Amino acid sequence: MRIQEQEITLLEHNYHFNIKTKTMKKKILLSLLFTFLLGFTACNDYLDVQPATGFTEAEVFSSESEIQSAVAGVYTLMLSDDAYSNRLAFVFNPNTDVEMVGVSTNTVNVNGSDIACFEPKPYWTTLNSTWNAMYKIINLSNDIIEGIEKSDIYKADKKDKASKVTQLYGEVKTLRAMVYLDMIRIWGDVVFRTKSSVGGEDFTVGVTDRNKILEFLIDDLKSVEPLMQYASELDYGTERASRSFNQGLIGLLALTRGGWALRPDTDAAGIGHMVRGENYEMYYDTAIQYLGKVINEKHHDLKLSYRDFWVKQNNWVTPVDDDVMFSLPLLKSVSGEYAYSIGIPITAGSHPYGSASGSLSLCGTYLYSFDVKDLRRDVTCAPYSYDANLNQVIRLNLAQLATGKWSKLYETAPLGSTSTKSTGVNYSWMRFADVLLMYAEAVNERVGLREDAKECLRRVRRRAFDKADWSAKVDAYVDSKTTQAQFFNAIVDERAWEFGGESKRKFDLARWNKYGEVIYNQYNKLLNWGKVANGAYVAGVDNVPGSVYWKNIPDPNNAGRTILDIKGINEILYAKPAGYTEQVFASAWYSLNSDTQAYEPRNDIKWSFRGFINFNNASSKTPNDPLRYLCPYPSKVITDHRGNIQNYYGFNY
Amino acid sequence: MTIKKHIVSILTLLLLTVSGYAQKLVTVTGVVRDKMGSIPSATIIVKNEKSSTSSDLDGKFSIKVTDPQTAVLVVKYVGMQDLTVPLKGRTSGIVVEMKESTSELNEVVVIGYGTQKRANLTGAVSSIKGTTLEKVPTSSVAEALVGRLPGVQITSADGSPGADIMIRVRGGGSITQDNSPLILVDGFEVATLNDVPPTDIESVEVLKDAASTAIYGARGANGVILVTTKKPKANMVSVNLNSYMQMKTLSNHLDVMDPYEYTMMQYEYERGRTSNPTAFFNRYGRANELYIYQGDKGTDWQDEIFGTNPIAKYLDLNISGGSEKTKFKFAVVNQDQPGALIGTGLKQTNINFMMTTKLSDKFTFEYQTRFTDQTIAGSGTEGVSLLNTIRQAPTLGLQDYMTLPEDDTYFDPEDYQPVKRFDPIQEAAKNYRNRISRTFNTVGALTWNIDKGLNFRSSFGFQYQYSEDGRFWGTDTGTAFANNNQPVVTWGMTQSPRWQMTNVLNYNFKLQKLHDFQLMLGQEIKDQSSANKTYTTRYFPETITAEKALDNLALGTPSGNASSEGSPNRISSFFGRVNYGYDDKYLITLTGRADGSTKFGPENRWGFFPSAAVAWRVSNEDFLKDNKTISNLKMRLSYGVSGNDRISGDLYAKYYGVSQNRSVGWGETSHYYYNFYNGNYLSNPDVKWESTYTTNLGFDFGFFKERLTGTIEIYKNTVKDLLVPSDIAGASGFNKIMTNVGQTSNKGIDFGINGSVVQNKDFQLDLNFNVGFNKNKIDALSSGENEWILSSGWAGTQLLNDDDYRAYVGGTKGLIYGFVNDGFYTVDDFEPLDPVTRVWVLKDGVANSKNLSGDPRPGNAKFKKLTPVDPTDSNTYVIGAKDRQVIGNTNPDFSGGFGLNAVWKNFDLSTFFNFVYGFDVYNANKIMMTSWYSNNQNNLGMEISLANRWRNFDDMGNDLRSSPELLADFNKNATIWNPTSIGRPVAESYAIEDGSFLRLNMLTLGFTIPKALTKKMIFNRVRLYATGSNLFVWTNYSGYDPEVNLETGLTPNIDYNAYPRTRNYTFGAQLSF
Repeated sequence: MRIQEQEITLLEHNYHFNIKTKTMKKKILLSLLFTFLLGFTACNDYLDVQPATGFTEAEVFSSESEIQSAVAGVYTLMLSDDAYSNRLAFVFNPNTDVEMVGVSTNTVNVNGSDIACFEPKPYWTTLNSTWNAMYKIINLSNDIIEGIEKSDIYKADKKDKASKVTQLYGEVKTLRAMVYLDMIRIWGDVVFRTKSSVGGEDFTVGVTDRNKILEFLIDDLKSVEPLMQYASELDYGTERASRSFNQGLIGLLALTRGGWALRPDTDAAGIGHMVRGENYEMYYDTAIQYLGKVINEKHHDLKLSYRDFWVKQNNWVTPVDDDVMFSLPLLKSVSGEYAYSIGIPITAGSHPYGSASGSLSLCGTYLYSFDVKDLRRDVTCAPYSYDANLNQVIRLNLAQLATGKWSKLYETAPLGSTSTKSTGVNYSWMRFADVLLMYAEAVNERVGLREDAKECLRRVRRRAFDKADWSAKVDAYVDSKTTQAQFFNAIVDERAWEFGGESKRKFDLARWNKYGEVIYNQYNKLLNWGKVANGAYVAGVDNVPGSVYWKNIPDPNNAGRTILDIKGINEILYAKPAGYTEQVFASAWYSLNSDTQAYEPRNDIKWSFRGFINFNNASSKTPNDPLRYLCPYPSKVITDHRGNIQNYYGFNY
Repeated sequence: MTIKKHIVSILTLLLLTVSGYAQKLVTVTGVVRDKMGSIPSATIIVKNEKSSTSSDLDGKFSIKVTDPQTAVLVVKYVGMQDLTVPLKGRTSGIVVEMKESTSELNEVVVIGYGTQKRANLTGAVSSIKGTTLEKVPTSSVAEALVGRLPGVQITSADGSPGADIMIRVRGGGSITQDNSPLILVDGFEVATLNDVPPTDIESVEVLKDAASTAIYGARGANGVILVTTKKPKANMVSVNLNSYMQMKTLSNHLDVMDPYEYTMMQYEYERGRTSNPTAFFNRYGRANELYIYQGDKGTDWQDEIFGTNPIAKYLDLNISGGSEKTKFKFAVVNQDQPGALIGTGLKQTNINFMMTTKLSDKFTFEYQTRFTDQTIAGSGTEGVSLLNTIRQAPTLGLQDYMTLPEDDTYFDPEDYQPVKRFDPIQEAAKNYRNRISRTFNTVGALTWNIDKGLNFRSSFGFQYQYSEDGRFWGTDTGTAFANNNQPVVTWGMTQSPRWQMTNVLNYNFKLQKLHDFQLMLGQEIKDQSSANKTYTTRYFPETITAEKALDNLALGTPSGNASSEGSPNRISSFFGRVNYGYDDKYLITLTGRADGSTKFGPENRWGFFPSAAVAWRVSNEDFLKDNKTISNLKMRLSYGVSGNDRISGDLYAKYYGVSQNRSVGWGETSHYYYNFYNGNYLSNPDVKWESTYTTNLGFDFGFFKERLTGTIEIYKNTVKDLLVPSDIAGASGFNKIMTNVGQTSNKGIDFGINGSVVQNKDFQLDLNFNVGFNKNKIDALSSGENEWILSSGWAGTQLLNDDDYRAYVGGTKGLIYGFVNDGFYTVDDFEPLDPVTRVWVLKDGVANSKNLSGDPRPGNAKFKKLTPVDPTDSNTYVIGAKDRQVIGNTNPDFSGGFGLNAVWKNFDLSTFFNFVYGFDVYNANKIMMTSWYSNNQNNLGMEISLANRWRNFDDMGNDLRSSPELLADFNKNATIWNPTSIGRPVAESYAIEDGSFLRLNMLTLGFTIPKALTKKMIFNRVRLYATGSNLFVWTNYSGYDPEVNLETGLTPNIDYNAYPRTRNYTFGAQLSF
């Protein structure tokens, strides 16, 4: 301020008296110089900036609650449509003998929303966006793992017992392992990254062998397992990755590592061949050890009935000590397609439930695979939809059978008459029933029929049947499996019945090396059902449901609404009972093609499995042929990795 | 900020001390004239005294002097030479005869932090005067500049109002996404030229070589545009009015199918899929019924969305005046520019006030403030997609022919479900967008004339921009559908303050009359920041209108809000310049600038940018001095470095950001969470300055007393450490990274020439021509690769091999890369058809295009195999990713413009043509209009009409596919493949077209009402004019307009869903009082 006054006096002098002296000039120049200097000295601070809405590592990893908000970021990324809210929930898992998307043309889908018929294309947007979304999760996880390791809280932690910060640390590692597992199940070998990306790094690397990745993840999870907390100790229970989930995931990782997988032929144009992971016995033992921990530590059980369990799920209730091991925490009105895309279709009307598309379908034949007394059947399979007045409408076909585990009509607090998706119903990624059956499978594989394995199967089946049927359907059934192979097949069947619509079948069939066989049989089953229903004779196939019959009856629970009474499911009928309406089923699967004047299977039989078996190549296929269940690396990935990644399995041709 | 306070306090005190004092004075009268007649509004000042005045309408003036014996008058008028008139005792009847300034050599050109006589320039500077721009009635300055400055290419991204305007000086030194030049309005850096109304411009200068731009250091690499707005003139108060009306029409029309062509095409597709397409039959009828569509014109949707021919209005009113001591100007410009596309438009009001006042002999204070209020309606082709619209079916099929029965007794309305007709007007209302932007800009500058030749200028400028973006998505839009199909509103607000302070010391002196020195030393700091807040509200009632929803957010449910504020973008600079001239013959300029920028990490923060230039005024040498032919000849040579830091902030460091958007659903409540602050860009601590090294050799010449003048510039610039947002592998968790990728260079020649062909009293004719040649080369890539693979992403990753652009080390950028078309398969390409399997089998050695156009069959598109045949590979004839090559070059050979200005008596005529030659356009619209990509009963272009395409079914719908002879015969005149064979977008040579064009950019005819007449009214001058813009384009390009997205970064010239240019007709009047 002093300089200023000096200047001002100078100016006034100048103006009034027009005095010019050399000393004054000097003073003026000096003051100018001073202004310049001012600029210089200020400039270092002046150029140090930080974004107002940006936080530094020190700020984020400063307390347990802030670290938890960082971990919440990982969960949030997992809930994007490109990851677990949509694609991994139901896009990547058909077609199997359980989930089924009907594909009625031989023309390859341009947009690539259906991966169902085993002909995915590298240019499909879905593949690229899912690839990117998964690596966003992985990179943020890697970053948080490093951030926690560097944080004072973690450094100060004694690490002798589970604490909040060690739980968060283990939690992120568990989530990362889960994401990698899903990537491996979709793509096989993938790019393996365990460090937070930094600028200047060379990212044009190749892929890492899936076995190496799985081995790393198993060891990684084992190392954090002792310091993690159980769901009952966590603020959001099974909506966070708990110690039990870590143990269960180690089991699944180990079974995947010890299971079968499609490996590339030397000729990139070849479909590939199935190979079992070397040293698989060791990994089955690891699975037995960690899945055994889950069972023995008794933090989870199957207490609720099968139906009550799903009703609770649809009402956003996830008990911490029951079936759910880990559930993706979708947010009501924001994310989630369970009960909308996956569930019973509902037409919007004046009712408060809104609409549901029920676009994920189970195969019509799956309905008939159940034991008539199996309580899971009518919870899982819904051969109907609801109209605008919430009356049931028949809806059953080859690739049209709703997954009844999810329905907006279960909601006690409905989401509103215009509601569509974003139901917030959680995606139960792993259940205790899964752990029991994986344990039984692993024990059977390693030591054969053992009581604890049988007991696991019994525990799952006890929930599936009424107590009155236990002796026949649980004890006698399990005891009837007297060989290792029979018991294994029982596990294969049981997992189909238990997990219908839950995105597990595809990956189970692959690691068992049963995918080709099952799809071969399924194609022929559909074909033969159509033929037999139309009067042909096919050896070994009789009693197929040509039609079912239905009539409306009043809904005993909801006055003014009607439900369906359907005949022809529990027992196959050959004639229409009086007062019922016919719904043609298998009879429509084989008919006269007016163009070729020949009897042919329906289009969705011809082409729904076309990347493996179809109308043109069926005669040359065998059940032992490898099935190309993997997806190609996206074209963008091939380009971005500059020749270090290439597609195999014939995906380039 | 203390400096700012200081300045304010100085000013306050100074204003207080200013006081007048009286003296006895003598009045002197006279008249100012030239050979044509009297000159009104000339400025007359008394040398070394304070009084000044200006001449009236008849050129008369009267002024007070202290002593008529010694007093000397100085008379000034724009376009005339300054005249000094010693009174020598005269007090009346003084006739001041002015002469036109003979050449533009004396014209003063604005350069960085100062001005320079054109004659003394050492760098490459193009300039254009406001008087030229005035003749082009456009809404933006940039549009008016198109094609007028050699080496400066200006294109708008498309034809939408308020569209981004791309300005490239010499091809754009840098090739980053933002290689636009630095723009300064009266010395203050602004983001866009759009805020300045074209009628308010005094001159525009473009600095092209490093010698000129280095003074702007960090920001100068892509050229610098200096806009000088009109300064107030000492005058009696003058009022000017310029107003016009403009009608816009769509300048071009795409030829799309009529209902008959359309239904036949759809029939062919549906029959190809299934023998009995019942859905098609129900909607359009059976094959033998389709003749009903013949002669039906149907709906051409282009007419529906562009057919309104809107009228734009422009009004500019300015008042200026004041004494020699204090002058002011006040201008209001109001414009209303509705867009040709329905639901779009721009409204803008500018208010500009400027004042200069001499506080004393030593101090001058200038003050300027501008306010701009702009509203842009509509979301352009993003809302009402142009392609969606032209792909709408021209008919609804049988429904168009259906009449409801008169007797509706048996008609149950519930059985009748009419197909919902696409309605572009409703579509626009459902995709509502309204952007408001208000900019307030104020600059104050104090100049202190310390001593003769020594002055210090300190200026402080502040700009505050506030903008709002209101968006509304009605029912059935994608956004609404994701939210229970109820309307959604997003309202965002951005506040962007910026300020700059500049201190410059100038010292000019001469030694021994031969050595001319101009020294300049300066310091500058700039600060720009931007804070953004966005609110999303959803679940509005289904029937609500967009305006109502935006005005009443409480009718919806808040669903998310977010805020973002990056680091302030700051620059601290020190710079200096030395100009030395010897005897007006030899000129030297040295400049240097040091810049510190917050865009880079502490290690790379400072950059230094020096330059040097020399010039030789050959015409001032003795041997040419008296030459009758050559009136001016100058050679210039310069070399220098300028920088580029034009990248987003905060890219060098890792930060985290907080959000609640689509959060984790723990306990069914929303939680805040952390993620990376920048989720798309991986931070790169090594990112550093991009530097451009420019060598420029220039020749300025003038012949025949400057009747013919021109400039040739030869240049080479090399951009080192090129800054480019590069794609990185998704496995990094990011999509992009900002890196210094390598080195490119541009070589070229700019040439401009002006000739005054006729200069009579009644007739004047000027011709002008300019052209620029530029060649780009990639010198090196820092990754060590020889090939730069780039994806334009116009079709997302749907494009077959989405890497559709290339740049090669040693080659150029902007090369389109793709498959080469080879017509279509004919019956001869196949083995004889097996009548049982009816599967077409290709002959050995015929390329198999199954990855591009489905399993080969006659009529399917065929592509060229480019890789050598590998006999060991069973798939060798299958066309794959490797069978691609460069199929187009987007770099023009040359571009420029030419025009004429003529005046005959009271009429004036000017016209201007611009051209760009030798470049390719990637016509993605054509790909969409001639293939089956996402075709769901969409219309197609006439390129694939019945007469042109391969057909598998005859007019009556008979299937010819199994009868090879019939099929071959039926298609013997086919010229193009069957479009149903291409199911996805393919970068193919068919879509690459030569874009060369010559555009009749502007034609204006004006008439100035004779003064004798206008004087009777109160007017000083009245000019009426009519202008046509974009009247005609000579081109072979088949799309709307070849000038589309030119020079946009690394993947330019894609014509995809761009808003087409309009043809405008303008009628206007300029009045001055």
